[in-house]
Amino acid sequence: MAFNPADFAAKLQAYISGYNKSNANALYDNQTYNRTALKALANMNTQYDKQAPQLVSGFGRRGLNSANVKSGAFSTAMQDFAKQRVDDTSSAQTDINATNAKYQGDLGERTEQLKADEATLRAQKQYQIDEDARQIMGYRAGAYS
Amino acid sequence: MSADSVDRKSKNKVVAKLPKSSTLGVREYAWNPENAPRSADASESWNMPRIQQEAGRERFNYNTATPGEILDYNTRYNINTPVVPQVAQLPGGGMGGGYGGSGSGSGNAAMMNAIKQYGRAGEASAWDNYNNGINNINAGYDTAQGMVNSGYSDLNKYLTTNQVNPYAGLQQAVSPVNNAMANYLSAYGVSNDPVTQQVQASQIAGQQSADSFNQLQQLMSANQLANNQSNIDIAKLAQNYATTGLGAQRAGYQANAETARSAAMSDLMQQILKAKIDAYK
Repeated sequence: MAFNPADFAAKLQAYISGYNKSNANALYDNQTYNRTALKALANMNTQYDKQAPQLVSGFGRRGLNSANVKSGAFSTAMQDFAKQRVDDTSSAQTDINATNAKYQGDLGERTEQLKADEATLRAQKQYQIDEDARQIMGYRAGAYS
Repeated sequence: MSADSVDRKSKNKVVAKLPKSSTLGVREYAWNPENAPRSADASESWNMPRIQQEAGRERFNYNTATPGEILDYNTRYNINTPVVPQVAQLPGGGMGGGYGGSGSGSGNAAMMNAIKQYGRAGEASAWDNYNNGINNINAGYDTAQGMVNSGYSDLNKYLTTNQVNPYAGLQQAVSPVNNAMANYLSAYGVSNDPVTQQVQASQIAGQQSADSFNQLQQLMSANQLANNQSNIDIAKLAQNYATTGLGAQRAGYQANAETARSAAMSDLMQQILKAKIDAYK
């Protein structure tokens, strides 16, 4: 079977089309995720900001927090509240960073796969050209082949 | 035919008696010896048709025919049929003296001359075939080698210019961790120290997550670079293999051509030998 340029071009185009389609889908998914995750993070901070005064007032109603009284329970509760906020927000931000990094890594893998597929395709093309060259040489040799 | 009979015939100029044999009865021919051309060149072209007529073959002029026509003619009348020559019994040393023999008598000398011409034409034809074959083989090799070189040039160019490392510079970001309630806690006289420790712990956790990812990307990056180089090396190996294969293939074809030429020359020698033997019968 002689080298078929049209077949080669079609296969290469199929690889590139698949690559572009996968990238487009992945980009859309990543953008959607980022919008959702960043909005959730913002809502989380808003909730913490709203809950902090409620926490303070709750200790005040029980007489555990006033201008003259600073109970250990209040201090501990406030510190735990702040620590929880740090933990929640940093975890959420780390998840966003990891997801974005994975998106970049997946993009790299797809790019690597595309290049590998193209390299294989070109190597197969060259192998076919080698075969064709040997056959052509045989044709030229005629009865001596 | 024994050696003694050969010697005896040679001494007695047997060839001179050939026109008297039943197979060489000149009255049966459209051309009579008396009508034969008198010049040397014309005599030669007159003798060969006589031989051909005697052998029941179509008239054919070896002096004016192309090598291809000579081969066709020889093939048609099975002239290439090998014979087992009795070289030692031939007068005049058989093939040792080339295409011509010593012969004896004017008729035999003319026949020997015709055989000599036939041999030279056959030899030239064999060499022409051989040279044409070698030229075609070399031209085919050049074409094939050109295709291979051109193709690998493209492949190597692609592999060299596409040393893509999609993992280069790929890192997971580490976002800074803040204590958003530091001022809030301070306003109520609450210490931020435990929260600061939590901030540090979260910062470390985020950095470890990024480090794990980055280490993985570095590993994949190194693999990709190695794979790129491997592809180039494989392409070079394949090109060398293809080139070596073509060279070996050409050598094989050349050997076949040489074998065919040798066989043709051998057949030609045998034909001439047979003709000489027949001439002395």
